[in-house]
Amino acid sequence: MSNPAVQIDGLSFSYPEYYAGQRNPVLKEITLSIPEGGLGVVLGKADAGKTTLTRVLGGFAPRFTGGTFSGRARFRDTELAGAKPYQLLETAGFVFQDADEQIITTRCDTEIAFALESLGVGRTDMGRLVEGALDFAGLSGFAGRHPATLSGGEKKRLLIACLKAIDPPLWVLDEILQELDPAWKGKLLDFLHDSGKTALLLDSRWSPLYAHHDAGLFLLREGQCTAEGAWVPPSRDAILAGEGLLAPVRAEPPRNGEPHPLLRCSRIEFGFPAPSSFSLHIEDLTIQEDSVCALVGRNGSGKSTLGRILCGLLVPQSGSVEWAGPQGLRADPEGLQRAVGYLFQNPDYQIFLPTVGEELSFGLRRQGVAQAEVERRVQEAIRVFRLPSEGTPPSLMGYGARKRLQAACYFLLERRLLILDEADAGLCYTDFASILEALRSRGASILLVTHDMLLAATAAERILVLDGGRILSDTRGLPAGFPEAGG
Amino acid sequence: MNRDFSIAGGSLLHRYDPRAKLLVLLAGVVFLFLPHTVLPSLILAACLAVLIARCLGSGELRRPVAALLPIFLFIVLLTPVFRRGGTPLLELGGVRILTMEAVSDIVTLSVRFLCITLLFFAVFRSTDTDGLVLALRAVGLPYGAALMLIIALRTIPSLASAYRDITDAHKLRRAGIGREERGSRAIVPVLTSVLIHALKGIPLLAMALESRGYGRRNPRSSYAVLKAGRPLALDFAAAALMVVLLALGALLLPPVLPFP
Repeated sequence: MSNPAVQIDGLSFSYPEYYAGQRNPVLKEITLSIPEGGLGVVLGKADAGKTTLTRVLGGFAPRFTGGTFSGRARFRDTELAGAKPYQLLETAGFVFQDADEQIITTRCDTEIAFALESLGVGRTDMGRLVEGALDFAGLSGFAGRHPATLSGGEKKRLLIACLKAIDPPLWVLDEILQELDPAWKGKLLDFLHDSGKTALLLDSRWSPLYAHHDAGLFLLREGQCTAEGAWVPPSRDAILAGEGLLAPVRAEPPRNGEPHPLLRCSRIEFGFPAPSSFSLHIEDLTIQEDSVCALVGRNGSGKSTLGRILCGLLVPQSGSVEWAGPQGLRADPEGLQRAVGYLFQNPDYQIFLPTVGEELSFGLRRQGVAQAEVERRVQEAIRVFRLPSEGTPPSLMGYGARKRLQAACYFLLERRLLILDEADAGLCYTDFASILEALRSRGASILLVTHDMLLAATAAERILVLDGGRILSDTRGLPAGFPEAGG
Repeated sequence: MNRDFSIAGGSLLHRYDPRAKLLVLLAGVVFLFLPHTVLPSLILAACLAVLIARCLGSGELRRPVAALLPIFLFIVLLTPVFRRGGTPLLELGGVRILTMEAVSDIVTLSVRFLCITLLFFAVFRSTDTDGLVLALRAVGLPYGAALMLIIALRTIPSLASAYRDITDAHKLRRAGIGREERGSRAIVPVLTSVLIHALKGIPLLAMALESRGYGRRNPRSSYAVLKAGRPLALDFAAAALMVVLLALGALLLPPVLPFP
């Protein structure tokens, strides 16, 4: 490769000893390079070390995490590893995996302006840059909005707008595609390519868009990184499939026979208080028993809002949610909360006990299950969800393991309907497929809220497309003309 | 993600210059700690209550008052215990339960707490983060110190937001299994998650700030601007008038107890 812009040589990183759940070293002798204006994609499962690599490249680790690193990482003539993050502001821009962790201010325009203020940009130029960045990210009418009122994908777009305003030559984006809707995935990669940016993306899934943009692929596995040219065997698909980074082929055919309804919504109207102008209107929706239904749609289309209504966390202003299947289940908010499980995107919100064993046995003990049975079921959940031993503290486990623990808790609760709200974010296909399969093994119906069209097409029998708070289509498989290539 | 203590709006209070607000706030605090009758404080509290109700909404007035109720209860219960001297109002078996002086202290302390709370609530609820940072910088506070102060102010609403999200998450996991727990048994798991969330947030906030250039040595510019010229002069004239009124209230009325 001639004239590499990003050059990483023998980069290793270890967290301090108290990160007991972490493998040390997390990064081992990583060597990779990306040409000027090129796109590099580091693929790896959850806990492979992608976020740690981002943090080392941005100077955030070991500065804020402790630990030690060795080796070098450079962009052009600038040392990245070991630099102070604010020194890299004009050289490299970073978007973190969890947008909530990076948003500082309480308005979209001031969020973009913050870094410009740090650079001392004049007010007139700043206004122009902020406006341009909001427009670029499709957030033109959002200047005064509080970022907390944005959907997950809109928050990611806000962070992209922050980088656009500064316009650094190197963009490092951690799991950026997973929360963006298909149109935005393509738009972002097109922009990076057309503007000649050098970009490093870190992802737990391969997307066809990467091939379309001639990305240099790297595989990060247990802290070790190999470039595509060095993969053995040299078949990309075989390697990616083996790592679970490629969308699986549908394992089971769509169910035949007459479906039995489980939950039915009719004429639901819901709106948030001002200043939000969003409203949800669902004329008629039925979730079937023992089924997987995917709920897809653009950022801010109302997917999470609908999910929260179905599990009783939000109460619609009018309309009804009724149990159509099992008798004896109440369809008021309290009844829905008892029968419907909702896996939050952030697993830490639903994990609160000191050890894996206590987390898993919590619900069983409250139900009065006998001790021997509790132990048997806990061991089963540990095996099915590939969790560490009972005594492991969840707070020291990696992200993927915490997601599996969160799912395992619901596996043991045996809810009739489970809503997985972008629960696939940050997980590779096989990790998520194994969670889905385990949850399905108990006969639970699944409502899968996702931006991953390949996942929706392979995992779900039915796909609902939501747009502007309305159901646009309800089909078996992807609706005609839907941008599957978005990954 | 940070939550703000202020609420958006375009009321008179929102439009009032943050620097002038800080001046009035300072004068108000000094006034409330001067010895004077309760009457001026009561007048101030009434004015603040009307201002909050008109500019922020009558529903907003309930927030500071509700937050003060436990403090009022402590004042009513504890003051008579420590203020036994003076004219007895209630005796039981020769033991003084309540004196005129204790009643006077209860009223004075309660009105003082009410005034201070309403004053700070009116200022911080109507001033956005950028305005506050600029005002603090205008009075000579370095940017870093002003930013840290704002972050500290946001901590409570941010944690309250996390608390609500985590409560929802826990509610769904615990719903329908076993008996419903109340009190400390129900709240401890939620607080544990909030605590973990808060602790994890400390280095993440530092990372977020530095990823946006916080820490650079070059002069920092500002996206938001404060008033200048005649509008600013009018705001400061109004602030000066309020300071004069407070001073007159404190000086002209003698420092006596409300119930001599």
